[in-house]
Amino acid sequence: MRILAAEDEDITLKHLLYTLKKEGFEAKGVGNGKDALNEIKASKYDILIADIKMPVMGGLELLESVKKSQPDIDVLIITGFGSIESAVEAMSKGAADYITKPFNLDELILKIRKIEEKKSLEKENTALKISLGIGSDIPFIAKSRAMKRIVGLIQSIHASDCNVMISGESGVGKGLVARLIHSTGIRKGKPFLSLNCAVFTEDMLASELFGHERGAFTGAISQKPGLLEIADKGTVFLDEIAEMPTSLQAKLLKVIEEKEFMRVGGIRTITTDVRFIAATNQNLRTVISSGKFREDLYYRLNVMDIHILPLRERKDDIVPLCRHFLEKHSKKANKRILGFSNDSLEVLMSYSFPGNVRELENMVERAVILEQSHYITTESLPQTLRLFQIETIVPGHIKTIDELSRDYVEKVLDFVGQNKSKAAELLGISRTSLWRILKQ
Amino acid sequence: MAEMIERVIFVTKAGEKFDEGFTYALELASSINAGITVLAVCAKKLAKSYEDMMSAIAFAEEGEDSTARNMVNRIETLCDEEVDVLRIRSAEAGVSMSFEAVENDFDSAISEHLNAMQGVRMVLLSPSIVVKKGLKDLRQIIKKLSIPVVAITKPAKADA
Repeated sequence: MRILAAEDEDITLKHLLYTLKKEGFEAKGVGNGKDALNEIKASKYDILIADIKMPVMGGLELLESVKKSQPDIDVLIITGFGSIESAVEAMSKGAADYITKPFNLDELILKIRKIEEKKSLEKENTALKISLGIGSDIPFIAKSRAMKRIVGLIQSIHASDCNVMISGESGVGKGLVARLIHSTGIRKGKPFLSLNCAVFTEDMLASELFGHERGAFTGAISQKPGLLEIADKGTVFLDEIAEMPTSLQAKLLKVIEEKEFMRVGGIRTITTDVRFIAATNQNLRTVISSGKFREDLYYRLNVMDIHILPLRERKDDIVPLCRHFLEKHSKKANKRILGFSNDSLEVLMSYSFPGNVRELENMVERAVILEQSHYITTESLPQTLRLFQIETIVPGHIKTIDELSRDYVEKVLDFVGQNKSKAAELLGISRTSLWRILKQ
Repeated sequence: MAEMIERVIFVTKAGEKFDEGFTYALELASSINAGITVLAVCAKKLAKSYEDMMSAIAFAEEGEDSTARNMVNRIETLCDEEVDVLRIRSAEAGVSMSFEAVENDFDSAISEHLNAMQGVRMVLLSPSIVVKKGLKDLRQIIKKLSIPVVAITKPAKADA
């Protein structure tokens, strides 16, 4: 837990920092509101303790600025003795709590612990909501460690407005993750519009994205607003971004940087405020080195990077996904199918699913239609699974040493039933080293 | 304005068993709502024999029917009828199919096709290619690609 304390009285600040550090918090101090704001912009903090009266920028002004730029930071305001009005004002402006001067440090620590507990519950709650699909109509199956890590990532950026790049093979659920990021983020309730860059020609893509004026090209019989205009204040999901022509990449970069654009054939500048979530099934590094994708655009979009593993590398998700799709499609087909035979699950578990979750869903849907008994048997699965051996090779994907270490640690953890002490002992490392590897 | 569709490419060796593995490729394309492009690669030696077609015609014109017939039989390994069967099967599965035959080595044929096409999701290699090249060689071939490659092989006792 990182705490920033903004207090203009040197002795109080020193005392405060000493106590916070003694209690195990990572704490830093500044002498006024302006410095506090700069510090918050430069580093990540969980809690801000701010004196209401400070030179340059006071606590209330600081509170307002922080709540605008970083709403997930909890602010604890220190008010003067008997100043109930300012305490009420601070709470109405979004402060998590307040404490009056002269304050008892034990009381302050208690209030911080309460905020800490509330934050941790909020995190768990968001993670649970994401994994259960609550708050959106999006079911998200996350049994494997890899998918649980993605749930954690989505949860960690729910208060942020950063652009996100999602990578992963076709059919892994990149669109689903994009929707979840939007529906659990600060733009929820605002438009979420998606565009597949691979299925349009350059002119069509430009028209879809930026819109066009009447007569801009043959067939443009009326004016049409583009996605960037319609999605104002919301999110634009650009699927298969690697396939976007380079000329449009330059225009998109300008939109991200300047938040304005012109319709095709237009002369008027239109401003827009959209968050971008992009996705690709290609190795963008390879695409960049071949000159087909702009590196500057990559960095603008890749503020947060989420990689979804292919289904064959997270087999723990196969059975829960099978059950989820079985329930969905047997309801749709009005059939009463109770589950899968062991043989059929064995076949599914040993298949490499080049088409990933989309392929699995299709297989289950087909099996539900074909199956005559109350359990899905191998007979209703595609016969080609028995006739051919399938190996999926991902070109250019060379794992880093860190990725390899994490994969290996996860395997050992699975082997010892997630017992971290046992895993650390088997690996010959300390529990903290194991924790560090998993955190990477 | 019509949209294009995403595709998978089924790369196969032009020859007798060029459709081996197509059933799987078709099922996969159908399950991920993609179209399929069959890319039949004629090894240069085989393609060269197309030039022999002209010679066969010349022999036939000269009345040397048996020589001409022998030459034609050798090169007619990929006839329109077989491709039509694939088209019918694709249409029945609701999958849009296109066919392309190229004279090239496998890796150049694949990379040239990928450079020219948009929206290709994955490359599927037929058993005829996997067996001919071996997985180790294939890894070398696909090193430069940026999309997944699916190698289809047949277990020793399977019939398809």
